[in-house]
Amino acid sequence: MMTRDKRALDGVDEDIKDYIERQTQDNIDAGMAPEEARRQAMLKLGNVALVKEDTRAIWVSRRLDETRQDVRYALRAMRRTRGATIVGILIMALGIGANTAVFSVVHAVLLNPLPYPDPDRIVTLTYLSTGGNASGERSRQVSVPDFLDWQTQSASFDSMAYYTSGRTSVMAGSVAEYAVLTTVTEEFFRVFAGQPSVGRSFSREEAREGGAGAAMISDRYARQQFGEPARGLGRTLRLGNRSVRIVGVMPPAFDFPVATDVWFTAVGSRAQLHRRGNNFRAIARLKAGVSVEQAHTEMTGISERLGEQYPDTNKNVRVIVTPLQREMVGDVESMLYLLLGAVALVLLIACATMATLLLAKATARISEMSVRAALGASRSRIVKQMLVEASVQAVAAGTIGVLIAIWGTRTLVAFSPPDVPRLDEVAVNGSVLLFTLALCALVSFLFGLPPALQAARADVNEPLRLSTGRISGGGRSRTREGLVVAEIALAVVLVATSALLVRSLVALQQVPLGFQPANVLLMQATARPNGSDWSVSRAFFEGVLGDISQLPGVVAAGAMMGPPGNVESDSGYWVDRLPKESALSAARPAAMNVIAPGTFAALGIPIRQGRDFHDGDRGGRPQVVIINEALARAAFRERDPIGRVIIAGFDSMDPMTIVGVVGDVRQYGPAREPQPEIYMPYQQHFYNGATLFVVVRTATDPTALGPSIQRKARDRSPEVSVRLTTLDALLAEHVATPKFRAWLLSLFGAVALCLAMAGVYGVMSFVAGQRSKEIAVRMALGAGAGSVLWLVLNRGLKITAIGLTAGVLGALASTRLVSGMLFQVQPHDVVTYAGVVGALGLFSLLATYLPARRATRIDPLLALRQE
Amino acid sequence: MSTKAERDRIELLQGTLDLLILRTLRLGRTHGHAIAKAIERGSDDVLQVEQGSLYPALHRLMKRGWIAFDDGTSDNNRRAKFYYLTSKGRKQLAIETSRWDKLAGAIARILRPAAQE
Repeated sequence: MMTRDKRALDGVDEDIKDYIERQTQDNIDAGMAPEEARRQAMLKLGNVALVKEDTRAIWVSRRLDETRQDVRYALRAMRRTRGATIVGILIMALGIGANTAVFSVVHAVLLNPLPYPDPDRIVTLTYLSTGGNASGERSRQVSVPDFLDWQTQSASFDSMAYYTSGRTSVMAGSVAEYAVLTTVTEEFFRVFAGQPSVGRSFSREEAREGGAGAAMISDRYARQQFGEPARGLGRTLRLGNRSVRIVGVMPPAFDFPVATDVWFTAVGSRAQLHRRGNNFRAIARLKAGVSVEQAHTEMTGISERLGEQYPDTNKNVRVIVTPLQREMVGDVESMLYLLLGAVALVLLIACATMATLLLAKATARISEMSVRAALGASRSRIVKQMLVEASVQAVAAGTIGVLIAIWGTRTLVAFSPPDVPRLDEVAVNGSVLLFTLALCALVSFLFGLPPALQAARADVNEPLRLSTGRISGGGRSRTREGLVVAEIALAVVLVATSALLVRSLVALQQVPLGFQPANVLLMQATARPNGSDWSVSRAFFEGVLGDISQLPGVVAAGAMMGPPGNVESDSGYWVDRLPKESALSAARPAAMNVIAPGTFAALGIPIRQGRDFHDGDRGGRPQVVIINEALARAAFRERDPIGRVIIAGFDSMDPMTIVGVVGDVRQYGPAREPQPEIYMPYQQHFYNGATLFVVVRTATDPTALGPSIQRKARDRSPEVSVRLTTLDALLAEHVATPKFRAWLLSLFGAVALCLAMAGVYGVMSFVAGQRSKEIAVRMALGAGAGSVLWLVLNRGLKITAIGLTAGVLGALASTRLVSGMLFQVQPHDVVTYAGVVGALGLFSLLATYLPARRATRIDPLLALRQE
Repeated sequence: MSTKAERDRIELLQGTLDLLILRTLRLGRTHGHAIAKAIERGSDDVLQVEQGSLYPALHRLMKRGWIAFDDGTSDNNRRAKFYYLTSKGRKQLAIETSRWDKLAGAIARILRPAAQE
């Protein structure tokens, strides 16, 4: 089509010329004079230009043709103002790209329904304390006796299940490896309406109390261990002392709880489980037609009844029903909404900047538009041309924006903290992309159009006459300055927020942890006992610690249950003797740890009083314990704790003698104050001494020693699963989220700052340009450079001052929203605000000064003659 | 420019120019001027190809695929397009001719009802 019409149109000129020549010849033959013959020939053909136009119109619709012309014209106009155009397109692209990237993540993580049938019917059941010191606190871990009561008494649910999940040692082949094992009850998969892709679900017989048990594995784990899913069926997994058959493989999309490798069902005896043994999580599927609120009401009634029935344990405990999706998102939600808010502000600033630049440009083009109108362009034609220009820019910006969106989404996923769920489902969201693109196009049209319209409407002579001499003023310049004020204000909000988050991050990273985290290698190892012979575990760790300390490059070695920063166990404790039965629940809590001799030294934790453990503190010898200073302060005040007796409800109620006091560490990461802690020798606490982190302080890079340390463990026993990490890496997870949001917000803040300054610069350049004639007159009349400089600066500073004031007020209101994310910094921190205002003021001054200085360099003669 | 008096000339009805061009090209390939001339001559100068209508009509027919052209050098050594009827155009000519006959007959019946009896 394209080629045919090109070919057909190609020779039209010559074809028509041929016609005229022939007709001229005919006329001459008929006796006309040559001049007259030619004139008559042309008359007969008709207006040549019109004929050509009409002929063209056969092939190309006129509208399309005009559009093509408009596009060409737009491209030419864009080339002419290359710098401004590139800036405009980049601003738009940035707005589109950044918003699409952030929203794509938010959509996949927060908004997209979970990939299960009727996902909104899947709920979690958690406790809420309604009295006592923990009032208002939610706790996700529930007890089995409570769960069983809920199950028998409730009518809202189709199916209910409880589960517990964790990394543990699993042997699929000849070597033990860590895998994420989720122990579930029979109805677990029915809650999700999930079917295995290969094999079958658990049978009732396998899942019953005291039954044989069975395992289902994830697609990923099946491929990893057996090559392909089907080959996993019928194989046996060794979980500690049990051997369990694999009966099914779940499809890749089924990933709950996140990263599970093996689902194992085997309900142990439920008889002696305690009502406050809160070690499980509960999920359920609502019956069709039952709302979350209805279920919630029913569960509230049940939990109140249980409170009356078991006041010791269940008083002040209610049950909350939460949709699973909300529960999974948890704390991530606030962070994602913060990012969304920040990026929306960036988009707003981008739009405002775009609008100011467009307004300036369009106003500068009023005379051009008037010329076009004077030459006969219709209003609709001028409007259309502006529309085409806006669209051409939007297409360019959209293309770059898509690239930014793709790259940005990938980057966000790659750098997001580990607790963000469902990241594998994140993909660039097409509808958001379209929405932001349309928004940007609309803004560019809205702000580009009115000046053009005005030009087309007004008396065509007036703007022509006024042209460059026109002093800017009136409504449009107020709009422009209003936009710049808004830009500065929004930038202050963003920059202030990011500054607060950065200061929090810095504070978080500078908190003294109480130990030396650098150059420490951690090797988690699970040495399962042989039947009831726990000496296997002890022998393994004793042996491997000896082996490792012989290695070159190892400074010191130890082992402990919970490495500092990642302590997970806590329990109540009593000093001197156990209280009476009724007061048992009033115990003060302490972190519980099991540790090997020499570990304090390896970690750099000082021993303040008494001694470290030694290999003589083993089974059969008097039970000993070491406490930290926080516990000494809490339980003993000024008195000497050494030699006193402590009892902890950890693994036994045996009294233990305090032999030492060590310095405090932040057990739960940098954000939480050190808590009281009790350390017990691993050789006296077999059960919790089977899984320990071997702690190795190295002379240089700890990861370099990893392979040889792992080999030492494997040499000792292939049945011990091991996993290597570093203490630094483990601690980094605590600051991963604050780091992520601080960095992103800083990035957005920086972008906002640049955009706002581009706006200030653009407007001030424009003002200076518009007033060049006025300035020239003043200078010709003897005004000095200083007063001219002040003339322009004055205006810019006023705008900046208003913007900064509005921004500070906005920031004061909005940083309150992030107060939960701040650490050791107040949301209205004066130093931060002063810094932000100072920095923005300075940048703004610079952005105003440059055009102002240019204005003083005007040659008055040139400027006046420019007309 | 032509021999007939102005008052005797009739402007072509909408659409009939296309038909006449097709009919003219049935005689063989030729250039634009010759087509116009043939129509005028063929009608004893009664029909006039309207100012500016020839080339749009030619291109309209080309777009529909009823005629095509070759680039050629005419007898006076100028580059010109030589138009010819395509097979599609030949069929269209037959259709258009019979349609014209029906139209002309129908109009004649209305204008001269007596002649029919």
